[in-house]
Amino acid sequence: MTCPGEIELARALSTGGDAELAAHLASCATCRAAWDATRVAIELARELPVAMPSPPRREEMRTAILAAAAGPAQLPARRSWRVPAIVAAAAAGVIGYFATHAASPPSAHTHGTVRPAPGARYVVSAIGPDEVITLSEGELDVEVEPLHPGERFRVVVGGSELEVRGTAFHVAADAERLVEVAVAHGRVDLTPDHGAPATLAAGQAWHATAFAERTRSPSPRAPSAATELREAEPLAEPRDPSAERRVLSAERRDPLAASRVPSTERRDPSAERRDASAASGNPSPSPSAATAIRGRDPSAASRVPSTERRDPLPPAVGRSPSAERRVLSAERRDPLPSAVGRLPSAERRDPLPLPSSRAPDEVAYDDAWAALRSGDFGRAAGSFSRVVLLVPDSPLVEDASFWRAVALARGKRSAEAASAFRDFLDGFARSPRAGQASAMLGWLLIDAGAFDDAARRFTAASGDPDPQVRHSAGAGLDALAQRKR
Amino acid sequence: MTGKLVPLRRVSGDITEMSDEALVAACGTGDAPALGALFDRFHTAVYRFAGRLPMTDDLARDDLVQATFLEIRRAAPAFRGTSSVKTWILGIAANVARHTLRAERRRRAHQARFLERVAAAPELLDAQLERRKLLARIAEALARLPRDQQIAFILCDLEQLPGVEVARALDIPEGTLWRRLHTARKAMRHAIEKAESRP
Repeated sequence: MTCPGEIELARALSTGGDAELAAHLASCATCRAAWDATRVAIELARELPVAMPSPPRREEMRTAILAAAAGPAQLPARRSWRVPAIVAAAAAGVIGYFATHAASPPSAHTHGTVRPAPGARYVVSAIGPDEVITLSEGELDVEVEPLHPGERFRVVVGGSELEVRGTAFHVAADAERLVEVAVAHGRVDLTPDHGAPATLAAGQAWHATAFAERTRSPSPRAPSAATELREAEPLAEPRDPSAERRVLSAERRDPLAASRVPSTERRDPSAERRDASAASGNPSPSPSAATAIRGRDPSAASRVPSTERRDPLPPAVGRSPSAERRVLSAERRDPLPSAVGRLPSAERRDPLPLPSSRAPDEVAYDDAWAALRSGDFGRAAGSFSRVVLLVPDSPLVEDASFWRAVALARGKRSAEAASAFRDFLDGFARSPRAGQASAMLGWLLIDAGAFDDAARRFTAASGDPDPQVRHSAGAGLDALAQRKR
Repeated sequence: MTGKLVPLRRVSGDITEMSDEALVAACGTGDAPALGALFDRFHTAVYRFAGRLPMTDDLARDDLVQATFLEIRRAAPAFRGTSSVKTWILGIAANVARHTLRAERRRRAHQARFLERVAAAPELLDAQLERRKLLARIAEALARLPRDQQIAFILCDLEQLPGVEVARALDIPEGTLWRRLHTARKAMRHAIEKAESRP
């Protein structure tokens, strides 16, 4: 037999070869050497490490896929939308179709689905490849599938315009005036009729009210009124009612807004408490409260004035795997807000185009929050650390220290998290977050078997003004008491 | 966003007892639990495939995995059973990877950084570190391969899928697959030889 050709050899290496090849290899040193060397290379390549996702990440991905697959922008259905969309658009163009739509069912367009709230008035002004929805009044939830090159999707409100590329967002108008835009995922380019253009990334919102207020009383650090961006449910997680432990909810605080507010204002705990008290005492939204972003609990969000953007407790720590699985299962039952918020990671990574003059601590802080929202807890912890390292006297250090500990806890780095919480409590003993930190540290200490220390931490947290913190501390003390019995 | 519900109707029968092919068929009708079940069964293989493709980071892999399963749902009605479901799914993953220009840019960026790291690596002395260095050479060689050859090598040699099925899943002639595989293997072999020939 002559030496085998490359195709024959390649096939034989995969299928094992036949007796004739085996005989040849036994007699041809050159082919034998190539054969053996190739097999060694393959075996070595099989040893290359492959990173697999953590179980929570896998669940997150599963949820996101199911939510995305169930979305209206299903590719197989896409072509079938064109006919009704064209008909609808033609009707709009010819007879000036101008409708008041009911909340359901959603109407399909070429690039996505518009879901109008009751009373919304909008018209399809143009269809693809440059689709335009003109909104006059009311609210729309819009989901747009990723666009191909040359395709556009725009929503026009009076003189304002939103341009999107594969996203889901909420838009509200009042008398042909843009009132609010909130982006669930993807990115929206906003050109308001007044103010500078802005790009909103996932979890951010633009509010006309905030814009108006800001123009009346400009903050010295506000880079642009139109970039009044707020966070939308960065880490809110469903509660696990069966879990003995308190499932600590997420912070909704707006890191960007915080970074733009003078530090004296931001770090005044009494002012924050006053805001919180006002929020709890007056559930009717202030003008800016109407800008609440649709999240896991939209009704709750709409009740909370934007001055109180945070849940008092950070996300759960030390949950058992089973508890976590239950939470994730619950999330699948109500998958959209969280799932869509976490959808394509490329979108999650979209950087926020803020002015380049931002301070490095702010950049790191924003990056940390983006990572925290996306579940990349390692990067979040690292970026929060950078805030402290880059600008040790930054007004963000206190928050960064706290959230670094939270990120470590959520990343299951319990020992490091406990240490970080201790550092935070040592450095910021009078922080309004001290109670939260103590409670979270208490649970970590229970996991670590340090029950006496845990009891001390829970006791310290039990005097916190926030009822949720006190509840968490009480639950911790109860758990310790039960353990003793 | 409000008002959107993910359909969670069940496929008929116990989903855990359904064959892979039946799940694909159910998925083709838009059945979300079937897609979930396919994810449960095959996400490890897809993640492993994505993890073996030189990419920048975990998030890029997540992108690929997510895009693959969404594409599975889209392509499910066209599944004809000419290969195993696993091969079909990995073929989809390969096609997604191959057609993602952004991933390609990431790959090149990653490759550049990787090569910098390799070049900057200190001299390693002991046997364990030598082996690690050899593996780094293999990884480097894999990263240098054109994407099509990477895919052929990963599917056939690392995932050990039948070449005939792989060719079908990638929609290429079998001879093309073997040629790509041969070139890829040769490059990997040379990487080892180069590493071993260095003092």
